[in-house]
Amino acid sequence: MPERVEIDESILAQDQQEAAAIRERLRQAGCVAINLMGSPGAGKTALLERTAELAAGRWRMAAVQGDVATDLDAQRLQGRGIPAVQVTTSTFGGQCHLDARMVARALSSLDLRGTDLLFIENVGNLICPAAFDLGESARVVVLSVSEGEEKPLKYPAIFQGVSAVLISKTDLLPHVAVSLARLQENVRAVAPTAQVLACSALSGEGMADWTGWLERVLAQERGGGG
Amino acid sequence: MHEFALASRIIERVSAALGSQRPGAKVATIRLRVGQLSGVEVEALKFGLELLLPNSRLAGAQVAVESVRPRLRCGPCGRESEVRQPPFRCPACGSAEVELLRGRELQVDSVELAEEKDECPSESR
Repeated sequence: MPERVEIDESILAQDQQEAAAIRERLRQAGCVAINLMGSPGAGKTALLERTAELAAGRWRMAAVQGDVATDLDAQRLQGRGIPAVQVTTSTFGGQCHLDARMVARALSSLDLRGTDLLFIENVGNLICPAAFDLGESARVVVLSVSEGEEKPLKYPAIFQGVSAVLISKTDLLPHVAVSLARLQENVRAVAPTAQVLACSALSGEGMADWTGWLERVLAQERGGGG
Repeated sequence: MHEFALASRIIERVSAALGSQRPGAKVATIRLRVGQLSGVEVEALKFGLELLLPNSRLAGAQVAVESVRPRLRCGPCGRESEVRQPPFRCPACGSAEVELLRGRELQVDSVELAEEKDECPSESR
């Protein structure tokens, strides 16, 4: 009989420790983080630009932008007056997701005490970011109507444990063969407890539901765990 | 494709655990549990380990992966069930108010050590 050594430890134990450290750092700063995930081109950055307009005078936001290459996204947000740090994963081997270590490093360049909501825009990818805790308070998947009705069923892992699914680009609905009702139903089939929202960053439709949801998360996180 | 990153973490975790419990022991098999909803492709993970293991403290180890099927508990009727694919609904009552009990794990379960060969069996007396 070969001798067996029990380990029973998460493969991501180190990542989870680093994420816990980020969570504590954010809690002390009074900053609430949202991990924004979704396909490349789902409209995550456009959503943040529009969100910033609506946030003006209500809460202060900042962003960590994850991409494989370029600082185009951080530049875009900085152009709108949003403090933003770019993380390019090509310096880490072109990784397909952000991990806690990368986020921890990026946070050093932000004024966390001067931030109410921190958006961590993950690398555009509907698979890999699912496994990695970044120390966020809530996870959100942004899913554009042009991606088709069945994406939630085909990529179920990313939807597990998310607080909200935001269906984006609803202004495109007249031009794509997608039923919003069926898309919402498919989201609920894989993420039954998530809040399902729909909006267009371009037209502004539904944006008030999104910012209202963000404010509830902010109030809960600050009122709740202290 | 983040399986390569995970493969290197597995080697770190196992090496650290053995370093404290059994320094010097040679590993025959690494046993992993991977949930079918963890977003990990098992074949890609094995491939990553095949490439990384030979240059590690765990050289020569085999990898055994238990794939964990998603298991749900239904809120309204309380029934537990295993599912093959979405949509995630209770097969008994059809409710979508289900809680995922298993299926997202990425776990190093255990290792089996190689049997130590007696170096000089004839000189034992």
